[in-house]
Amino acid sequence: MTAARTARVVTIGAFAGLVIALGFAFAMPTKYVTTTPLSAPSRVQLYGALAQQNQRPHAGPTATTVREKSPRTERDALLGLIAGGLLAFALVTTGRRELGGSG
Amino acid sequence: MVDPPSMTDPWLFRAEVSLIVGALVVIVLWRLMLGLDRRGFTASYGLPVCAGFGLRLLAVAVAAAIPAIGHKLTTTDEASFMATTRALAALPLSSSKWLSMTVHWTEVIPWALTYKVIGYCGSFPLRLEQIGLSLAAVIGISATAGKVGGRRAGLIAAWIAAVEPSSVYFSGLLHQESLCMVGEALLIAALVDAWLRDRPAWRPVCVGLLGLGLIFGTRSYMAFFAAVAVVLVLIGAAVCRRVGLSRGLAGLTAVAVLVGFAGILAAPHVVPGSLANLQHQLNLPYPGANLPLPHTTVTNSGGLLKTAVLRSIDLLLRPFPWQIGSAAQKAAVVGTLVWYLMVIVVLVLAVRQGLDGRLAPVLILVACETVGFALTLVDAGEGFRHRVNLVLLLAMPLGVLLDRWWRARAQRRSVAT
Repeated sequence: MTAARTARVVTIGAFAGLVIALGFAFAMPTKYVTTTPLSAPSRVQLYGALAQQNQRPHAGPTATTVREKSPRTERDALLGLIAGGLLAFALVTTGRRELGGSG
Repeated sequence: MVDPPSMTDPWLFRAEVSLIVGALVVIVLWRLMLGLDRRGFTASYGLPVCAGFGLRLLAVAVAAAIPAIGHKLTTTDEASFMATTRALAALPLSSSKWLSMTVHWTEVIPWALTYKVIGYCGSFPLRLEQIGLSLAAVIGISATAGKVGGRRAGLIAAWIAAVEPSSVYFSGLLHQESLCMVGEALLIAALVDAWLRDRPAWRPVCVGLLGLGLIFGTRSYMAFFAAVAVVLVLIGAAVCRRVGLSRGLAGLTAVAVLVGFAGILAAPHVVPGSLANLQHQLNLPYPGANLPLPHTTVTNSGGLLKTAVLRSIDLLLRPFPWQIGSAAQKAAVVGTLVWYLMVIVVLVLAVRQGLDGRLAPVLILVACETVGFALTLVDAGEGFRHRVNLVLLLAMPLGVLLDRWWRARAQRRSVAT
């Protein structure tokens, strides 16, 4: 395999890595609900005042928060590009003895 | 906090980093195989190296999936290694801690550099680095076997070192073994070169110093015993050239035993502080050490001699195959049985074929490291981990001896027909 062909395979691999990484990054939910179990002291702390006024909501021992997806798309895309390129390079070079200094 | 069962940023990040590190490991190992091909035919050892890589990845997966087997990987020393790695990665590269850790905790440096460059990416990329280092040691030791015994000897050594069960299991461990084994592979290559050459050459000297440096950086106490092996090999090479192999080795063994005995007698008077420190370490109850060895005393000559002898036997024979209290120990039985087989085959073939002088350096290093590990052995399980260093070294003479046996058998058959 010539150097030009190796470069072409590496470019294709890097592009594939970029596309896959972007696909995963955009396929993730932009926001999702996180459920946090509340301990008994926390529940007293949260609902104690309301409970005393007979206004405690019918809530289970959990609290829910909405978390935004961390904005790391650029990082994920760059790493996907590098990973794809390196994987392609590893696949096309290993097993070929002519690239080495000897053999 | 309970995260939803969806793909999240950390998972994608860790997968990408693992792919990058894995690809780099494969590329570097392949370049190493090509680079050492002229020395020991290593470019043709692709199959055992691939098998070793696959088995090591499988062992990491099994250890993660079966806590009863994998708990040793995460609960004992590894937790402190990870904490040290993260603390070091948090420091700027200009900090003097980086230099001091490079000298005394060399095994942590590749992991800390990974976290420094990429950020915290979990333990799997670091395990891939460990696997790469252990396979680099396999390639190095096979190259030396190939140089001594030819292509098939190197190939046999590569298969043994690559698929031996305890080496496969401990290669994924974040510990000192993998980098220490790289140092041992470099040192044995230099020692064999020194044994074969009449005059000194700069390349074996540099390789040997690098190997000693890696051994010192991972296990400073072992560097002393490795240095003793270097001195014995250099003296042995000179003596054997003058008086012949058998007389030279017999004389060298006698002198080594006498000097060792004198050292044990003198040590309590010359280095009492070091022995007190060693005694303190032997007395420490280590968390997770569930196969403790009997108490021993090293602060006087008698105790030191007894410890060196008995713990060497412990290192070579324990953990007992009948100690099967947990799933990890049951899995370890396979490694122990393979070790016994290796030792028996080496002894039988060496007796039947006669000792090859070119194997003397590795046998001297094995003897010195056995005593070194024995003196610091606290737990039989720890001995099982230390023994992978001896497995790697023993793979080299085993490859050469099995190749000679194979060749002799083929000759006998051709004569018979």
